[in-house]
Amino acid sequence: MDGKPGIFSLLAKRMDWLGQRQKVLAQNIANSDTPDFVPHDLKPQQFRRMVERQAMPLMGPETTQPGHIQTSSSRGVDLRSAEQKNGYEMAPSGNAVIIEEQLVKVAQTQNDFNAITNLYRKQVAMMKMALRGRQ
Amino acid sequence: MDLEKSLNISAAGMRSQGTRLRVIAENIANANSTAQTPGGEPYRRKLVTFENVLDHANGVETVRVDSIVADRGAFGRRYEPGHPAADENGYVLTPNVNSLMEMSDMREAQRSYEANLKVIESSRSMLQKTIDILR
Repeated sequence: MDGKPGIFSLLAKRMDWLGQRQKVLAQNIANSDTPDFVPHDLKPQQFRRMVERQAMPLMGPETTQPGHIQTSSSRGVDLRSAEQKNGYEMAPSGNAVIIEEQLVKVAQTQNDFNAITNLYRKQVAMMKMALRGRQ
Repeated sequence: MDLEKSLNISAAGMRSQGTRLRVIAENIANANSTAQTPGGEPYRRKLVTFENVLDHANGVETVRVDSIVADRGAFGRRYEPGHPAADENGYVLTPNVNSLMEMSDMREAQRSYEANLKVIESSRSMLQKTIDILR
């Protein structure tokens, strides 16, 4: 739980993932003219599943020490990137980066990030409201 | 942080494309540089190659200019007996620069440069949103 209330740790994990994805996409675009470069991407994060699990937690063992075996729910964010398969175009130099495709992904990542940061701010505002008692 | 790293990566990409543009400018500027003596070589077109390198300081894969190599294509020939570099038949070797090719290369470099710039803008706005949470 990293010491944060549920929803915050959820949003923070999502932001981690989006930041990492932005980094991978930046790498792809920077290498858009490097011979034999295949673009990478992250595995999609199951954010919906994460939210559902948060809303309706299963009774499961909690890891309290680093040595404990981790279950899928207690594991952190999967930030490994893999080579993108089934690209539909490859330059004669062996480069498979399509700038348009990558920029669309950048725009998506940015939109998602905006949404998540706004959610985070709303949550903080709600908490503040609860603490203050009135507006 | 990932977003700052992606700024570094995009900056590296822009630097490489800048070097590429510089080499293209050299080629175009020297499109008519012939030799001064009959045995000499005229200007030889230069090419830029990129490579993907691991930046140990940041732990990210960035791009850099691998090497600037000479184009081994054949020189052109022009009949000009009065030229100081003309051979016994009156022919002068001209550089192997094709301005059409340079122009299309320039467009490609510009396109990649702009894509990197867009990623910087996007990463910057994401960072700004994260900071805005504090407000």
